[in-house]
Amino acid sequence: MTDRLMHAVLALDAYNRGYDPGLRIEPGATYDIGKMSITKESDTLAGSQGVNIGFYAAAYQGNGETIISFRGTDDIDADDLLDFAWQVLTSSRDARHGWPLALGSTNSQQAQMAARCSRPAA
Amino acid sequence: MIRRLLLGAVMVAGLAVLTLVGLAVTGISPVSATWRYRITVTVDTPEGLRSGSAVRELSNMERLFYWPEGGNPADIRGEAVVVDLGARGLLFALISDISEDEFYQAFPVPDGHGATTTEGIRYYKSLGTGQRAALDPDRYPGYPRMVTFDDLSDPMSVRLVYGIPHHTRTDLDTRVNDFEDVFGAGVQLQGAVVETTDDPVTWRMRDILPWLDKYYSRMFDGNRFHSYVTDTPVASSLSSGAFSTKGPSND
Repeated sequence: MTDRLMHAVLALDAYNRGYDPGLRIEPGATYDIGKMSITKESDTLAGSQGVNIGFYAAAYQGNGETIISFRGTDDIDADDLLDFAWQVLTSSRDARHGWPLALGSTNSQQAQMAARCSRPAA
Repeated sequence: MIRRLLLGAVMVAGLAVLTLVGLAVTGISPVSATWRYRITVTVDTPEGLRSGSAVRELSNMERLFYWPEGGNPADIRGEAVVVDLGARGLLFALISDISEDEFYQAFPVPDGHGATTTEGIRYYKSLGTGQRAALDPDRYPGYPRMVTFDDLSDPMSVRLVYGIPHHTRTDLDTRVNDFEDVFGAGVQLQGAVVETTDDPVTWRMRDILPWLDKYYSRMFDGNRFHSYVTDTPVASSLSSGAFSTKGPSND
């Protein structure tokens, strides 16, 4: 498997770990992905800063490297543009705390937590 | 930078206007529901049966289109169950995002529909109070993870009593059942029962663990995030959200 493909798999994998995963990992499965193993994850329990702002990241190690995978937007599930807009305005934590980064604001809370997650000692 | 922020503000304002006008015109609202359940854990001891319970609340809303990789998990509010075993100590049956699956195991949606689908939400909305079902420990997700503290004032003293010790595997077969080792001979988990109710959500964990607010955004081992490479897998995997969903900065 190429590095690029492995990185894509790990980018996908973060959506299925931690709190509110898109897919529950099948009981009995290990937490390894190929030669990579999860070594750390961000907040997963209620009331934590990470969950409150809709943030999740997992760190993987293997082949002498560490890869950190961050979830993108996954809390907007709309049936039409109207519903989409309603959720952006009222309920999406990703829109509130993550999308400002797309507009260039590194002060957004998800950007700040991503930076913190990337520190080796975090 | 300023132009980008202005553009963003204009986009958000446009979405707001579109939403309000659209809702007014169509009157469409998605199916949503909020329901409560009491979970009761019973332990058999030489002194007799000991039980504890907590009332929790689940809320969900239908989704007709799913964002790639997104699901439709319910929001859960509530706390861990506390079972007072007298001089033997306190048992805590924890709460997490998997707790909604305990409810779904107890009350599966008829005709095989998923619990978080429109059909599932409609079913739970119509379920009514007073429905009881025992959790099956051998089907996902099994009983909740259960812990105790050697010293209630020290989160690092947490000990696993029942459940999967480490997050590196998810097998129900790897769970431990250390009731007798932790609480003494003759102490055994008898079972857990889920019952629908309209009683209010119970909030009493802060009276038992007054330090909770210090550990919502750090783990019981003191680290900021959950490390899988550790000699203390239980303390490293827990923060206060496993005991009460009501942190200092949320409801």
